[in-house]
Amino acid sequence: MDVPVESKSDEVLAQISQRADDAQIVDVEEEKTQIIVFTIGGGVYAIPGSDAKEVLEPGKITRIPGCPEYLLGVINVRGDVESVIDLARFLGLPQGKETAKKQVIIAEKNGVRSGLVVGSVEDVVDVPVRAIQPSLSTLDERIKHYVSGETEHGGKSVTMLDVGKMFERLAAE
Amino acid sequence: MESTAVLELKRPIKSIRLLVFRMDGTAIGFDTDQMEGMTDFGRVDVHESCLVTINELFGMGEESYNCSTPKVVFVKPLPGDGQSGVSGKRIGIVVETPEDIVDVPVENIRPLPPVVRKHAHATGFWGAALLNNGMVFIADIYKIPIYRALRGGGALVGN
Repeated sequence: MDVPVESKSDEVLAQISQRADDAQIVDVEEEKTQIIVFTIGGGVYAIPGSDAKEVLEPGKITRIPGCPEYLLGVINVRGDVESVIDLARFLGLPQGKETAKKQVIIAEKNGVRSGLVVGSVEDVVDVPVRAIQPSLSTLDERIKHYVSGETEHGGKSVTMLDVGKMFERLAAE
Repeated sequence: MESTAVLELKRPIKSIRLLVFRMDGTAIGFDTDQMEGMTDFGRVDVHESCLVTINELFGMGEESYNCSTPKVVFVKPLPGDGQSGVSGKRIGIVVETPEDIVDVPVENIRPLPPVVRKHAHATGFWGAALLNNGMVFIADIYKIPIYRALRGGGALVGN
């Protein structure tokens, strides 16, 4: 049945209002996750924001004799001693320029906590969960085990790293 | 019949006195309670002593000493050791001139983070002392594998 002409405008406004409400519902329902995007070894990588506690400038890293090369040493974070890992070396990726800016992400997962030295933190961003896709099968074998997916940020492909799997190896070695 | 329980109360340790020196740029501390004494290298009778350089002690390979005034730190024998050292010789650690002797309150000592603990414990390091001018790694001489090998009659190193 056609809408009576005298109430047509009201009907149109009601429909517009309903569409706006529906759009809001879609926005609320879209699950998002925070990621920390950073560079290492010439590539762009990310870890879940829930696994990152803070981002620091490297400061003075004190080396401990007898540790593997990727274990750079420890740093003093407001009176707490935290271990520091060279993430590129740990993953077997090419090293960035010595002079390039570096930062430390303090990460924690499954009770293991450590600093991860990365090139630089590019962004902390919320991305829709559906935007994180399974990783490519052509991925570098050296890091495949530690990759949880792929996404895109700023027009660049971002490789998502699994902090839990990296820390499992650290605990086992 | 009433029995009398004897309570042995241990006093909490308030501080540790560390002899601090550097190895490859890293500050390392030995608890002075584990030391018998320190003397100039030139005054040591090498036939009566079993000497090991600090780098050899931590398994970092042999290091030629550029330092013109090396010192020898003699390790205090453990109770029940009888004669200390290999074949009754005193075990001495050759170090560069120590930087400092510092009293570190226990509250300024931190355990090593779990990620590095296993590697560090394998070389005798057990904690980090936070000082105003940086961090000092504390080593338990008695837990250093090469020292234990020497004490147990292992191969002579450095002689």
